[in-house]
Amino acid sequence: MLAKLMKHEILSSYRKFLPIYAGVILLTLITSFSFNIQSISAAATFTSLLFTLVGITMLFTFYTIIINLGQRVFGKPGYLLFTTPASTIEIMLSKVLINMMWLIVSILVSMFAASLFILSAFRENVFTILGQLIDLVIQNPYESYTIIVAGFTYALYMIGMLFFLFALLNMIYKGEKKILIGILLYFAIGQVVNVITSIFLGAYMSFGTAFIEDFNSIWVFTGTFFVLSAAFYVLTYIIIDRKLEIQ
Amino acid sequence: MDNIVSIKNLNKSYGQTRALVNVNLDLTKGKIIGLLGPNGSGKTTLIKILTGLLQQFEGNVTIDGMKISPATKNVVSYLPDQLYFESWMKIDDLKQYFEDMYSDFNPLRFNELMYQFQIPSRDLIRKLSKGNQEKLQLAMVLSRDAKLYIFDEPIGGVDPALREIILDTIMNYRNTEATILLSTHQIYDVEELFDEVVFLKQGEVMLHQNLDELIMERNKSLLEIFKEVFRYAR
Repeated sequence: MLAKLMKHEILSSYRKFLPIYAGVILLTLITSFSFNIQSISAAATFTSLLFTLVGITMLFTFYTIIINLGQRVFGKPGYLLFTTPASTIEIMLSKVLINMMWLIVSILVSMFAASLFILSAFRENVFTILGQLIDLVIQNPYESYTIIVAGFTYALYMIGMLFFLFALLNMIYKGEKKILIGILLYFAIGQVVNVITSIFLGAYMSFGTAFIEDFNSIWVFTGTFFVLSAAFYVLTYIIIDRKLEIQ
Repeated sequence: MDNIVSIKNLNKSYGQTRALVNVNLDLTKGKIIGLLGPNGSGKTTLIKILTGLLQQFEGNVTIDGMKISPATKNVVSYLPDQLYFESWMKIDDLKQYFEDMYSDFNPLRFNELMYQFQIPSRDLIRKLSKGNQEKLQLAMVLSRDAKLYIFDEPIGGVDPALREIILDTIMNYRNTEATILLSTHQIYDVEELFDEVVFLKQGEVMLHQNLDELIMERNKSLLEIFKEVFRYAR
């Protein structure tokens, strides 16, 4: 059942994501070509277009995740979703895994666009830059692994927090002003998270601070957000499994 | 076991409002049962509990001997009182969803119903008229060989022609061994459909009886009995 739910999760989004990815890749290629023809105005135009499209891709990814975890679960489509013979765990897993997949693919597509842009714009130095980057990763496997795990955990936390936000909103508020109450709830959850993280992270309030001041403290950051993610998923499970009320 | 649905001491409140009050109900297999009552009498709440859309309630509810769970959703085919389609969905996407999720989905019956309803097959669902969307949702529900069909206000707010089509289709395409629970507050024209009726008034079961016996006993039509029972209902 999980595989079937995941299949239909992909079907629900791929028609929107694929054209955007294709647009980013196409514009990246056109931009790199515009550098080759050495036209400053063309290069500037395509560069700004490319960065706009990369921005749109990331914004669209977050918008899709919000719709997938909110309206598509607790809105009218919930009538279909929650009368499907699937367990709460299967429904939640399909949502989380596919939204993580889109997030990772969007990041990879954006990274591809940025890499090719650098390759074209600074081609005299690009091999040096790339070589240095690869050397850096090879020489520092622990640091690379740490950053990847931290990024992955933070993405998991963001999705878990949004899922919990919508589940809680649906449970406590049935009125017409859901967007307003949702925004207020988002800030309230953010404040609670800030208090909790400040207890565990102390001075290292963000990934950036941890990265600069003490690399090993990234694991404290990762561990804290992993625990918060777990808490969000457990609470979301309890709300959906025992307190669900589709309006 | 002759009952498809067994409800014991069911209570449900929304804040201070009591939506269902100590409901006890056994629905027999193979019957067509009318769940009747005015707006706000608790029909949709009861149906949402049976379909698993409401998890917070007190009491004991079983379908085909099982507590409400994914296993009961496998034997219940449900037509809600509103459209649940997503904007990206094409008819084929929805058909594929039902084929994948429900082992009792019959694609041939679905194609037959689509042909009968004359719904264009390649359109995005959101581009169909509201009437066609309602017919599509009905086709999905009736294309399953479920043990229990639940229809929540299937004829509410539709024109008389569509109302007739909906009722005829339900009767002609249902799994004849299955139980049908049909909720409505529009009593006219449905009298001949039901084997049994359940009257819900302010969350309480006022009456659950074989319809022929009820009509014989009171010597009145279902509409007249309904008006009598709900005369003071708010």
